[in-house]
Amino acid sequence: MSYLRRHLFLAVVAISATACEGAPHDADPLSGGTTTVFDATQGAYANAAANLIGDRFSDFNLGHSLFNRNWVTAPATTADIDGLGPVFNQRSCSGCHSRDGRSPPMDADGELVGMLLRLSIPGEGPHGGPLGDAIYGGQLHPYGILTIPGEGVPHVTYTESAGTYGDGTSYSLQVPRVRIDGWAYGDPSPALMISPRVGNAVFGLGLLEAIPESVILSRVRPAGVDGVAGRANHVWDLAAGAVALGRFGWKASQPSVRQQAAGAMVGDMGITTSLFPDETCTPTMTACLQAPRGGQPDLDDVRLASLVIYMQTLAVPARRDVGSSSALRGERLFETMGCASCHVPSYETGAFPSVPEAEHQTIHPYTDLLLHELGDDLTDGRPDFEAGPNDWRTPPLWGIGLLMQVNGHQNLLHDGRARGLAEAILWHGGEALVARERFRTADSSERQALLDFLNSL
Amino acid sequence: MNLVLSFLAPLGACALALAACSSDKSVDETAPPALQNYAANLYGMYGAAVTDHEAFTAKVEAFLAAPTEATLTTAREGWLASRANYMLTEGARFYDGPIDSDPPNHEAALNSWPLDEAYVDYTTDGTGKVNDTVGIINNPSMLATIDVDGIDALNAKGGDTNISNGYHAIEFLLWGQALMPVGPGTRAATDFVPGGPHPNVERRIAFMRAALASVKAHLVAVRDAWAPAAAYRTEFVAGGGKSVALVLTGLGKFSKGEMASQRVDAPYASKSRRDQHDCFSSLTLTDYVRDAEGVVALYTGAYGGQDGPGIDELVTAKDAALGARILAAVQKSVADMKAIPTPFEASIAGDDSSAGRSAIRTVVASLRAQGDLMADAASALGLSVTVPDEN
Repeated sequence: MSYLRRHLFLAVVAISATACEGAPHDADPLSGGTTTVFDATQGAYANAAANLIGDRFSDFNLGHSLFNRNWVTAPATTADIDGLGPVFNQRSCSGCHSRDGRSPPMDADGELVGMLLRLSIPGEGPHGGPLGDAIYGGQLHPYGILTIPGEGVPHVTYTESAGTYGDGTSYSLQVPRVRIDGWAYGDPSPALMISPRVGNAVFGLGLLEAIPESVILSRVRPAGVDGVAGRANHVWDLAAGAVALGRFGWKASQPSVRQQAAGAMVGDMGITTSLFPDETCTPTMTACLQAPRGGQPDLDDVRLASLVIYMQTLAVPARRDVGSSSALRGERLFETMGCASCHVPSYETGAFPSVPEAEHQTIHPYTDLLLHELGDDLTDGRPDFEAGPNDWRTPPLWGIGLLMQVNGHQNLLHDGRARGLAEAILWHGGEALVARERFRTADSSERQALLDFLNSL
Repeated sequence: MNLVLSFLAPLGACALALAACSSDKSVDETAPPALQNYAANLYGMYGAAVTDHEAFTAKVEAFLAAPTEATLTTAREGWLASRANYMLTEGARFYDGPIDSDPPNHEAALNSWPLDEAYVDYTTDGTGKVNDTVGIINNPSMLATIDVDGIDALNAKGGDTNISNGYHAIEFLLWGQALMPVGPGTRAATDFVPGGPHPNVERRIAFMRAALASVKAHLVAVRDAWAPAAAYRTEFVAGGGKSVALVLTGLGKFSKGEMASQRVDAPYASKSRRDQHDCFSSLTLTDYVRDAEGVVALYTGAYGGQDGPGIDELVTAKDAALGARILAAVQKSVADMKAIPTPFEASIAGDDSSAGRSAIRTVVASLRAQGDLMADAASALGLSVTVPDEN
C-alpha cells in the first residue's frame, strides 16, 4: 500500500513539473527511475530507494549500520564488530565513502582519508588480474592494529600545470606525485607501480547491475572517426569461478556489487568474508599472520548480504533545475561535444530478480560501463585484467552536482586531482581528446551551460 | 485500477494546481500561528536544554571536585535528566534547519552515535585485557591540548563512529564500556582520581570539561537561531506552506528513517547492543520514548503545559479523518515504545518470538506508518514531501 502510494506520488511530481513549466523538453528528474528520491540536502546520497520493497528495509537498515560502524581490534567485547586489520586503510566503509558519497582524497594535514594506493608489479596475477608486490601485496595499508606496524607512509604532492581555454582564459591543473616512505617490512620490488584511487559514491549500484549485459556489450566498438572506441573488461567472478563482464571499480575490474564490497572489506579494513576468507598479510609479514582474528570469517554471509542489499538499493537523487534553460542548453552541448558517446545518458534496466527495485527502470546514469583509453596524462601505469595502464571505466555522472552539498568538495577523477568539473573535463585525453578540445575551445557561456547541466544531475 | 485512480486524481490535482505551480494560498494564510508556535516551542525546548545542561554540568563539577561512587551516580542521573528537553527537539532535524544545516552541523556535534570508545579512551577486550594506549585521552599526538575546538575538530574525522564530542562522548566518560551482554558500563570513579588505576587522568578530566563546554556552545547556537527576532526564525515563520513542508519533512524523516530504521530496526536486525543509542548507560528506551513524545509535541504544538496552534489543526481542517488518524498514530508510537521491556539490549536479543523482539517489531511498524502519514499530511495540504526509509 505505502509502496504503491509513494510510487504514484513520484510519478505525479514528474507530471506536474513538466506541465507547469510549459516546456515540452524539460529534463526527466527521475535519474534512477522509481528508485529516485527528491533530496538535495547533505543526505542526498544516503536514502533508501523510494520503491524499496517493504520486507527489505530491515536488511537495508542492517547494511546501513554495517556501512557506518567502526571495526575494532579482535578480540572485542562484542564479537560481531571485531576483526579490524591486522593492517588496514580505514576502520569503516563510511570512512572513505562519507555519507555514501566520496571523502576528499586527503584532509587538511595531508593525511589520506578517502584515497588508497594500489600496488602492483609487471606481470599477471591469478586469472589475469594485477600481480601484487611480493612483500606488500596489492595495496598499501598505512595502519596496523596495536603491535602490528603499518606498511608505509603515503604522501601525495602536487605541482601546477597551466593551460588556456580557446578564448584565452587561463586555468591550472594540479599534477599529483605519489611517494611512499618508511617501508616497514623491507624494500618493495624496484618495479613497483603505485595507483592512487579514491572511493566512489555508492548509490544507484543495483541499477547499474541491472543493465543487461547485452546492452553494455552492444557498445563495444573499434575507434570511429571521432577516435572513441569502447572495450569491455572481462574479469574473474570468484563466486561463479568464471570469467564475467566487469562493471564496477575505476577499471571495471569487479563483476558485481557483492564482490566489490567484499573486496573492499578485506582490502581496506581487513574484514574477511566467505568470498575473501584470508587476511591480506603476505607470507613475510609474520606478526600480521599471527595476530588474533575476529570471526572466521569476520563478517558472516547474512551480514554481507545486508551490506550488499544496502548498496544495491541506495537511491539515486533526483535531477534538479529540470527547466533551467542553461542546463538544458548544456545537455545539448553534452551531446554535440561528444561527451555522451561514453557518458551514455539513458538505459532501460532488465530483469534482475535479486534486486526487484532495480528491474525495468528508465535510468539516466551517464556511463557506458566500458573502458576507454584516456591518454598518458591520466595513466596510472597499472594493468587490471583487460584494462591497460591508460584505460578507465566511464564513471556514472548521476548525482555529481550534489557532491559539494554532500561531501563538501568537488575533487574528481580516480585520484581526486581535479578541483571541480571543468578540471575533470580538461584532464580527459586519448579517446576523449576531441570532446575535451570542443569544451576547451567553446565560448565561456557554452562552457558554463555544460557545467550547469552537470551540476543539475 | 480504482485504487490507482482514487489516489492519482486528488494528488494530481493538488500537485498541478498548488504545489508545483504556485504556493497553496490557503495554507500560506492558515499556517502562521502554527509556525509561530512551532518556533516558540523549539526555542523553549532548546532553551530548557541549555538550562538542563547547566544543572548537569554543576553535578559533574561536583563529581570532579570529589570523585566518589556517590557523586558519580549523581552525575549520571544528571546526564539522563539533562536530555529530557533536547530529545523532544529531534523531530526538527532533517530539513537543513538550525540544528543540522552543514556546516556547522550542530546535531553531529551534539548527539552523534554510535561511538567507537577506542577513539576516546582506554578499552577492555573480550579477554578482559585493558589497552591503556588508545584514544585521544591517551594520545597527545592525536590532540596535544584537549579543548573545545580540539575535540570538535576531531569529531567524525576519518569515520562516522570516530565520535569525540557530544552527549554520547560524555556518556562514555561517565559509564565506560558496557562489558556485559546486558546492563550499563561500570567505570569507576577512580578513573578521575590522579594516581588511579588508569593513566592520563588530567586529560580525561580535561576531555570531560571540553565535551561539556562543547555541548553548551552548540545548544546555545541552536537555541539562538530560534530566538524571537533571529533571522532564521523570522524567515521560517513567514514561509507559509514551504515551512509547513519542512516541519512535516523533519517529522516524517525522523520517524521513519531515523527512529524506525536506525534507532530501532538496525539494532534489532544486528542484535548488537553496540548499535543502540545509549549503549554505555543502557538508557536507550528512556531516550526513545522522549523522541516519540517530541514528535507529538512538534506536530500538535503542545509543549510546556500549553496546547498551542499546531500542524494537526491545519491537517484536520483539510481532512478531518486523516487528522484523526495521524493523532492516533503518533500517540500509538509513544505507547508502543513504552511497551518495549527495558533494557533495550535485552529486548533485541533472543529469537523472534520473544516479548522484546515482538514489541520492537510493533514499534517499527508504528513509526514507519507515522512517517508515511506525514507525507500524506503534506499531500492533504497541497504540499509535496517524500519520506524515504533512510535519511
